[in-house]
Amino acid sequence: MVRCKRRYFVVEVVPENSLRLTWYGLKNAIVDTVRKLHGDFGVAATTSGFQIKYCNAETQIAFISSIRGPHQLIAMALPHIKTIHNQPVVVRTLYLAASMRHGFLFVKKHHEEKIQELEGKLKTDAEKEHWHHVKKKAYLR
Amino acid sequence: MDELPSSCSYLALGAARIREIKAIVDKLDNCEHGGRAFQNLPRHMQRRTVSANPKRLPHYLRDRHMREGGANVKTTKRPKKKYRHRPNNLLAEYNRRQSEYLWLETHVWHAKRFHMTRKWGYALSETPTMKGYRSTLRAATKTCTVQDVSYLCCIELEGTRASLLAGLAPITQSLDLVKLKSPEVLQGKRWMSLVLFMKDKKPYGALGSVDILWHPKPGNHQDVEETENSKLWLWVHPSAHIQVVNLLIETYNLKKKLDEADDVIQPKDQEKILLEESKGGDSPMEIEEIKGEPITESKDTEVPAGISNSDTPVHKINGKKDKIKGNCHSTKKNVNESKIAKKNVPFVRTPKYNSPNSSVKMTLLKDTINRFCVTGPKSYSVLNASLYPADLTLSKKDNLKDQSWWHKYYHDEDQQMIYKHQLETWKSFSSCTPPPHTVLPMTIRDPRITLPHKKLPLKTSDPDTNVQVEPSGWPVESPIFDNRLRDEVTLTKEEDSIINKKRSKMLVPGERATEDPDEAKLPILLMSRPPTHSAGHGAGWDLLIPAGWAMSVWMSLIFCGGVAVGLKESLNLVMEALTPLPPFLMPDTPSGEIYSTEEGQERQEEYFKRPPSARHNFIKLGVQYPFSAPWRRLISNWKEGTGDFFVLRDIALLNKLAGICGDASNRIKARNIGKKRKAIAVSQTVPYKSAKIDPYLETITECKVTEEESGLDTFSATAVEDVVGTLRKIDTRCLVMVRLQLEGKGTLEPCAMICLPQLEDLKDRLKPEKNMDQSNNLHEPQHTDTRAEQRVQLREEHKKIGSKLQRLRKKARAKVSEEHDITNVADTSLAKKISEALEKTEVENREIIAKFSSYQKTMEDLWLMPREDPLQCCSRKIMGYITQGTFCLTLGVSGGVGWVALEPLMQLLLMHEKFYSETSEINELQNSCRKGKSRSSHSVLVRCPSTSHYQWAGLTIVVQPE
Repeated sequence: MVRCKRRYFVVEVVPENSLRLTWYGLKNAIVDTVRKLHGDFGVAATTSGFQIKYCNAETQIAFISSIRGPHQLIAMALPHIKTIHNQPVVVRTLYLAASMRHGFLFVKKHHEEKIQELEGKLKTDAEKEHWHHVKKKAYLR
Repeated sequence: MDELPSSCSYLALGAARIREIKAIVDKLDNCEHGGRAFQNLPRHMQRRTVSANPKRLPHYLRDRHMREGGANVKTTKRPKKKYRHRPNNLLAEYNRRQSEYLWLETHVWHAKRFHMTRKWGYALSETPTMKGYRSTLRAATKTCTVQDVSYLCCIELEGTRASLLAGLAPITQSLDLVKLKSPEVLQGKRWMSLVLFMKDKKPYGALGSVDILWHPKPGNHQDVEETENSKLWLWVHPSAHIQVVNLLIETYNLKKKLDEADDVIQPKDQEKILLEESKGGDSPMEIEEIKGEPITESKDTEVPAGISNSDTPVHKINGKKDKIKGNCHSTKKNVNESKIAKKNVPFVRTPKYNSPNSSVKMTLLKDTINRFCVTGPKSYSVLNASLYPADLTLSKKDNLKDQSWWHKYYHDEDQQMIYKHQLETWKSFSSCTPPPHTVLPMTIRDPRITLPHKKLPLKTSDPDTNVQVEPSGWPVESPIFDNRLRDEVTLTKEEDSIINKKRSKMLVPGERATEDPDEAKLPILLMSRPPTHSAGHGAGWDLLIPAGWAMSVWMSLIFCGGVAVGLKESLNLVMEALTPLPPFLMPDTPSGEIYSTEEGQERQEEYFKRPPSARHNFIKLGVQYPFSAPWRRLISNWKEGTGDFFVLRDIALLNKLAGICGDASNRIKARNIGKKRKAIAVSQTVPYKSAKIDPYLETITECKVTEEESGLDTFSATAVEDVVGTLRKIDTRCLVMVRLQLEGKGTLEPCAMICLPQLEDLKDRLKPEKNMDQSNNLHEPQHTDTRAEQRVQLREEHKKIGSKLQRLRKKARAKVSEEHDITNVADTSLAKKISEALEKTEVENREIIAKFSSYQKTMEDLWLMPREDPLQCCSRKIMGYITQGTFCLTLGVSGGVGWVALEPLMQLLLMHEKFYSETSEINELQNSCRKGKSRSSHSVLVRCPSTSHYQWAGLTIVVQPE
């Protein structure tokens, strides 16, 4: 038997204004865009196995899962997404993972980098200490 | 740049990211996908054996591993045969595997050759794995069949003769009771079978037939005294065992003896025996039990045995145990003993019941006595070839204590005389048939020693005419009636291995060893059965053997030419040779009802396994009960009442009926005469149609042809009216067993309907232009399937409900997964939430789900005719049903055995009479032979559930259904 391979897009939705990201909003936006670009064929090709696997409204990171092959259509469509819930957005593809696990590993690394960046930008020692404190805080767990 | 905030909180920006990192780390750590627990180990520490033994994994990974499916470790492959087949294990298995369903002693032999079924608490052999229908029938009619019927349960009743008979009186038929009181039966020289009924409900409430055997009185005096203590054996079919035991408990007001009470009551018994002995001092020798400690399952065989001669002063040997020579392997486990561990051997283990004044005692000897059923014309020669009577001329020895049981028992000259007498009787049976229901005890040599080297063809032994036929006055005393001696016989049995070693050491292999004086002896009891069929079928012997010895006797019977048969074959014999019916085939017994409903369910399951296009539409065919016969409904339909019914057992009435309709067992005789006629009258146009009988059957029946034909033709119309008149007087809510024989081609199935023909049908048959194959002309018009629409509707509805439920579940699941927050670690797992939500929807839609799940049953009901419909919905009225029907080899056509209600049977007789009187002129014109034929058999219509055609069948009465 041949294994059914999947691909997972790790995307970051950057809204221009505030946006509460929902999986169905993202999904509808993608499907609409694919229909615009590739017509019914595109929709039919992508919808089987198409799923928003993970959607974090806080960090605006989402996982889009698709069968390998038609994922290219989705990849093509992602940059063309203009609005979600009638809010103007930009969807950035961060990573194309072959498994959720690696997608998450990437997200973890990505966040760590970002936090490093933030830390570098801290100006005063007091801020740094406070930051250090925050990172350790139990309620974050 | 104005919109940009002047400052921004790093905290707010970073906190979300940090939270997500934490969630991801947590998830990845606990992730049970993307690798099994054991993969967390470095490769060089992973072990393959973990899959078999989870404990080889480090402790911190074990939990997760177990959750991931490591817990359902397959208990590796079975241990090697070498280990499984160690003698100890084998024996343990032997007893473990019969924990639920008891095995007969010949189980292992049968299981290798037979399909086994589990019935009535026993594992029983059903039918041989190789083709056997014809061969077993051939054996039953030509040679000899053997069946292990040890599943029949024995009940011992003890008490004064008067009290025993008084108890039996209200629960048996008066005619049977008279037979039971006849001196031959009371002396134990004849056994008999009778039907037991619920108390004061005769003729309703039959429980089933039992075989009754009185124990003979020890000593010479055979006069019957009413007050004397006597014993009685009842043999009951296991399907009726509990009911019979309860009935006896009720009639004699018995109470169960507790185990600890055993020791208390035993000395009392002994006193009684001693008292009796002192009273009737003329009994020359009395084997009597001396109180010994109850035999527990100790490893060595120690048998409490004592003997007291009435001439010498009685001395007690209390607690003294004699070791039996050659059988005390104190270190080794005794194979024979552990094999019978499941049975109630020794006697102390049997359940006992006592009446309050201990006048009547009941002991359940279930599974402690083996019984073989040997059937067929050659059964005597098979028994003669396999059982060697023991030589019991003993040299006088003073010390009897250390001797085996036969030394003690046959020590006396009187006993030896009795034994000689019995032997002579046995020999005399080679030339003459034994009187029916005789009892003959024998003591035989160890059958394992006399076992032939290999299976021998059955020898036709020349009848020994030298021995004169004795009058039936042989004594029937035997050690087999004594519980203690039976136990001793069982427990002193030498192991097979010892015997086999002896056999292998013989100089000429296969030579039959001459009798060794120390060789084991085996007391058995032979009970003859009379033929049930006029062609001589169904005759034979029943063999009673003490526990533990069944396999040895069985092997020698098989090696000497007996053909082993199973349950199915014995049921076939019921139809072919009209052997007595077991109680589970009698429609009016509780066990019969259970059996028929079980069988009906089986048939129904079989029917509904097929796709709808491949099964008969019983609604269109107009068959209301295609799976089992509704006796109650049938009876209440013909005669107003509650539907209670009974089976007509009155022999006189049955004989009268059979006089008109013909006795089923005379059938072959009549047929053969018909054939002769055909040869004589060449011009005869309508001979017996299917004159093809198996050649072997002809040989059997030839001898019968010479007999005078019974006066079948001589009945006049007045005789019929007479009989009907007498029948009208009695309670006609009863069933009569009939045998049917198709007059044309075709087959019979179980549950076929026996229908009452109309007068026009009979007349139509006579019309010359009609074809002989009448069945083409008569058929049931197709009924309209009123339920077809309902079925379609139900199906549609079911589909709708199904999709609705699917939708509901999907919705519930989606709702939960939407709300579920992957980032929230404290949340309970998603799967759990989903299952909760599903449960909730199930509770909310309980009604629909109930409808959904009951679909299959409702649909099955819709495929059958509604039960409320009238029973007589067809063009011909239903008289009864066939219980067994196939192609009958003894008749050469399809035949069957069934039951009809008495009321329509009388109508049938009257109608036939009317028909004859009307058509006598026509008959005169046609040849007389045909008239004779049609007078002798009353034709009825039979319709199988699978067809709409009515077939003509000759109906005859079975006089002795049990």
